[in-house]
Amino acid sequence: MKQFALFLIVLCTIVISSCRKDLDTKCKSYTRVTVTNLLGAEQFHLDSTYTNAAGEDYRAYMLKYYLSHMALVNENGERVELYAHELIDQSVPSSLELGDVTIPDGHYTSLEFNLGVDSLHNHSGDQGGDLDPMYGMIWTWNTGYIFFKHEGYFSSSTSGTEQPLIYHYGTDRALAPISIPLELHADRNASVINLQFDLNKLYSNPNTIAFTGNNNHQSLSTSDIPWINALRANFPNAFSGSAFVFLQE
Amino acid sequence: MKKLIVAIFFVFPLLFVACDKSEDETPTATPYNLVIPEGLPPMNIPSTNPLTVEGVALGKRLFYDPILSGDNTQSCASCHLQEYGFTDPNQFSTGIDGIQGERNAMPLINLGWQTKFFWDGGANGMESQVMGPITNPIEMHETMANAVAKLNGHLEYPELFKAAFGSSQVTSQNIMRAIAQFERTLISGNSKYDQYMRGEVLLTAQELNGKALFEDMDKGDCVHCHSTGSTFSDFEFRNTGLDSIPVDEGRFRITLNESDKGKFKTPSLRNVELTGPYMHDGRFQTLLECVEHYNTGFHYSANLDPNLYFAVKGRMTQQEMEDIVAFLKTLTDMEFVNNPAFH
Repeated sequence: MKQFALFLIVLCTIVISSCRKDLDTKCKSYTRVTVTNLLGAEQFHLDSTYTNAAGEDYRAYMLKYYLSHMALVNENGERVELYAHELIDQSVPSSLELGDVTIPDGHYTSLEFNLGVDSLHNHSGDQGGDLDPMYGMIWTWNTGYIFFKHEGYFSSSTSGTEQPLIYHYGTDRALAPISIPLELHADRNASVINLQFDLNKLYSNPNTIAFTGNNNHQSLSTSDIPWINALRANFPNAFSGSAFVFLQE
Repeated sequence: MKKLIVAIFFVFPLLFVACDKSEDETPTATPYNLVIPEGLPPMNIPSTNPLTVEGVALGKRLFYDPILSGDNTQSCASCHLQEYGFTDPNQFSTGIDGIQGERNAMPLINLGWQTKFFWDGGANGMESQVMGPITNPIEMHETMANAVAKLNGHLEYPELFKAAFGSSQVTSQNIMRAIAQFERTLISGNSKYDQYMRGEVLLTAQELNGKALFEDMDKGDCVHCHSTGSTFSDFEFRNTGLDSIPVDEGRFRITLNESDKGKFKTPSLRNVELTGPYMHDGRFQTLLECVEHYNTGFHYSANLDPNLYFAVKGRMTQQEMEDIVAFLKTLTDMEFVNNPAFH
């Protein structure tokens, strides 16, 4: 064990000193994105009861969505793509921890991504990775990915009874480009970007979405289009993020 | 330092061994020699899924294996029977839960020339199409995740996937690719019509007259959509006036364009003698009923295909319609429906 530790130290020194020696070429840093689903200040949990902006109590047994082409953008507007397609699934903790990536050193001022799958990838199920149809995030009779899936129950404001809620959000028109400001000075260091998604903001900011009489949307009918437009406008406001450096060379 | 060197000596060989191993796990499958009959155009096969002997064989096995359905009772072949040109002789097929659909099963013939699948073109590729019937609750009612898990736990399938795709890990992508490979081999190109076109046989006077009427813009005018030559389809979506207000909105369900209401894919007419009942909802039992529909039966609506809009009702005599049917029967390819490679 001691020998292994020694080996690691020597190896790290070699890596770091090689970086120092060659200051002309760009040195690299490491970052990773961690996603947290929230409800206001609280962490979101499946099967817990929450109240939306319309005053309806609700709980979800499923919350899944795709984030695609996530990139850091530096002060000169240059993009560094971190991940191609990531499926976030509240029931799978590992899906909330996106992997480590190396990035060129620099001053990054925003994080950009799409909620959903871009049109180049949205029309074939013949794909692997997080786009594997096995994850049930695809319409198989009308090839296209379900960008966002919220299934659960809510209390109807008219009848007071608990009713099912099925929100399957997708199709090309639903793709929501999102850009959130953050500050990251990558300078031979390792950082974490905390990306937060607030489900109640999705249903309130700026468009209030009430579930009563509006509880079954699968995006594939003309009647779904106003609902898609409202959610697409809300998605950018439901995400926020910040970065912090946890290891500086 | 000595220890470091020792460590490096240990680590490096390990890396190389790991590397070699992964290369060993990717044996190349044997390219499949797809024979395109004379008269048919070259097939556009996606570069991501070239046909291989192992892939086609695996796809065929999956096509006939009920393991892909929710209760392991139905396979693709349950509703796509070779003797009927890989369609179901019933108006509507019945799924594993005893529920019937609302559209007639499509024949699987010369699919490699098509780009959109299902009556409404909802699937954008042959690979993507595969998921549809497997996951449809009123058809095979299975999830892709379960199908993958069942195949991974099977005694033989992991080896077959390894032979076809280089990895024994069964994935939904490789299930789709294998079945698509098999489906691309379902080629019909040796009907009496094909033999006639190659100068090998003669058509009867009635069949020849039917062919002329099929192509005559003032008579059958079938050729506008069912292009003669080889494919017998333009692969477009057409409203053929089955109803003035369509019960099934067809292509509209996919595009949400008003002009697509009541449009369905033009099916190929190859083996059409065997693929009844006809139309997306299987409403017609005989070919004569179909021809009669285009002669006098079609209904006017905003989306009616322009070729029918301008067609004169009652423009064909009974004899002329029968001649067209006689020509349609020359598209029957018994070699295709009996081909042992397909079952």
